[in-house]
Amino acid sequence: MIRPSSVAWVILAIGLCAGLFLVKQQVSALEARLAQLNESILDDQQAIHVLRAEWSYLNQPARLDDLGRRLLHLEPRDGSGIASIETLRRHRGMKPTAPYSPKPNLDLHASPLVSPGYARPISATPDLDARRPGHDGWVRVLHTGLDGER
Amino acid sequence: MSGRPSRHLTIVKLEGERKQAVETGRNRLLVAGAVFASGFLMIAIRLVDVALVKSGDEPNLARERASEQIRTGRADIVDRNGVLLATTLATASLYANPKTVPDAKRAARRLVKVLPDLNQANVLAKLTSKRRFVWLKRHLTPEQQYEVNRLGVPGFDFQREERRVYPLGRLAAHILGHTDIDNRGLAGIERYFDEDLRARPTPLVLSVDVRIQNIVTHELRRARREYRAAAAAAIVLDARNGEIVAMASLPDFDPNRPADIIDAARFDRNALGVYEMGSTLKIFTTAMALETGAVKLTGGYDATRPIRVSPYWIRDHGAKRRWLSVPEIFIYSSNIGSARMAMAVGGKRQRAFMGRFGLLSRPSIQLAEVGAPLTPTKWRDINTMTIGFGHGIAVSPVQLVGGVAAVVNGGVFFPPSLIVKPKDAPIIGTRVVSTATSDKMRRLMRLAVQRGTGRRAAATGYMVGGKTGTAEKITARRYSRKALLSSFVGAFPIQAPRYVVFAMLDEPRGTRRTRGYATGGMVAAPIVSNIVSRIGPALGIPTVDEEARKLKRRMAVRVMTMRNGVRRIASE
Repeated sequence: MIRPSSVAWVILAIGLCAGLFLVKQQVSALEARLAQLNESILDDQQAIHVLRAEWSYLNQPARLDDLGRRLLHLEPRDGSGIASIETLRRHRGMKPTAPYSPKPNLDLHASPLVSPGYARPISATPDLDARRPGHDGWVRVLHTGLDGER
Repeated sequence: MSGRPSRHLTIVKLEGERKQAVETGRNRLLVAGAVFASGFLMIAIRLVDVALVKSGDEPNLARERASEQIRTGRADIVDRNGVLLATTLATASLYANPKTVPDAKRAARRLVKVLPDLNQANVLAKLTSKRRFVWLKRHLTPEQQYEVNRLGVPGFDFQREERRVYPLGRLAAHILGHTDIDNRGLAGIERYFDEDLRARPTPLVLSVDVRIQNIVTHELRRARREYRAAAAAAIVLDARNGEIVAMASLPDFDPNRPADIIDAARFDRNALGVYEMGSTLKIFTTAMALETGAVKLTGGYDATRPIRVSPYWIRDHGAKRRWLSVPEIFIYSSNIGSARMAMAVGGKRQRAFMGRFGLLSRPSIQLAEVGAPLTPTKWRDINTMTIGFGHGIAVSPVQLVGGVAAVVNGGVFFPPSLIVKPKDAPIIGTRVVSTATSDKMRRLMRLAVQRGTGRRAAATGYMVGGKTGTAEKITARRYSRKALLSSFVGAFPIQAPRYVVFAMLDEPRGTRRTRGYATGGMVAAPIVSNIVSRIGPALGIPTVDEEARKLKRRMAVRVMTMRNGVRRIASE
């Protein structure tokens, strides 16, 4: 005679076996996928390694220098194009050598720029003061900032 | 198995042999049960241990696998900003097993068609040899590998190999050095750090900045071409810690093709070459005289007549033939004055002083081949005098630059280095001169550029200060007027030096532009000027107004002079 508890145990055992089998199948499938992914990661790393060398090769400073000169007409800059605020302060009485009229720009929040010549601060924003009579049309964004400091 | 226990208990008593047998059976059962119980208990304990105690969380098998990295046989070398200077790439090398190549003649003919740089007769000889393994070509490009595969010749096979690649080619070639076909370091950093590069998992970081290195090499190459110099060298060194930011030597070589390097190109002028530098060493003579108190800035020496130290004469070029003050001796580069200055200090103290600047011993720079200075075995008066103006002692440019950095940076010597020091590590230097002497030397070096022989080294906004050097080279055992070694060593911005810049041309020839002169002030100083004006913006050095009154006052020197037999102040 078979007791109900025994039946339950047998069913449980069979269930566990089946579950275990399924999980094991899943695990081995995942492991295979993991190995595959790892392999492709290594392949990618290898490719990145080669690309890094190529990046460095293509970015040879002498090559960039040559490309910049030929295609962008850029020249290496020297110290004469760079000025500190202190230098600007002392030259603020100077008038610009060439008249400069900024083009109207709709972006009113654009930040002021300082052009290479140190006595030529320019602004990307149209200056309302420029239209006032007696004003030489020179935008004094940077100077205003310095005046505030005094 | 079922039913209730019987009411009638039957007590069976066993006697004798039977009782004994039951007892034995019971004992055996007990022992076996105990063994099994303890076994199961151990398994249970182990299960708890493994499942709960030892690694309670998920096993990290996946993470371990994912952390696999490609490892090459040799670590990369990068510059201070992480730009790749040397790396190791996998390549395929073609070999053959001649026993299994069916038609050697046809195979050789077809192989040479896809690899034209191979010699057909040579390949055939290899393929008909009795060996079982012959290299046909090492390090094929992927395209070549594809072509060879397409031939489909049985017996050909590829071996995965690694090859050292220098993506920047000639740039910094003397610093990096090169490797042989089996990736063993043969020169430069590759040789010095050979063991380390094989073992380390992370790239080796050099103190070199390729942007600066490129500018320096470019300017040097241009000057060498213009003055048709046999060789040229230049260094940019961080004055505050001795790190070499750029170091170029011409002629140079392509480390990617080690077989093609000729000896003249292999020779590193900066670290291996030692030269009688000439007047640039007057920096040390003057610093020494000021430091020891042998003379003050307002003092001076008589330079009316050449000094005779048989069989030599010590003369001045463009002699003033009068008493010269210390600043005048420095800016006009007077040999007579410097010789007298050195004698006033004395040979013994001079030797000790030069030693402190690392000028008398082999520098500790991280390169495979480093030249030792040539110093006199006996330090006589004649040596003291000639060394006073830079002859009779041969040092390498690396030593000179290291010493000059110590003179201008406030008086602390840092051994020149090619490796970036770790950020948290303290920078250790040795004090070699006082800050006061260093300050005076900065003023004198500025004066030499403003009013002396070094005018052409000026770079607008960057306050260059320095000293020219023109040495006659020894050819056929005597000094030659024709073969010169022209150099300039300077620092910028001189009021608070950040970088020491050195440039040297070996046997330059004057041009029409220099009116035939090939002296340091004519040919080497402009190189430094060009280098400084280009690296200044790249290194983010703020420009100053060189004419500003405050700055002029800070760098002022009281220059004494003699006019009509009376000493007076020439300028302040």
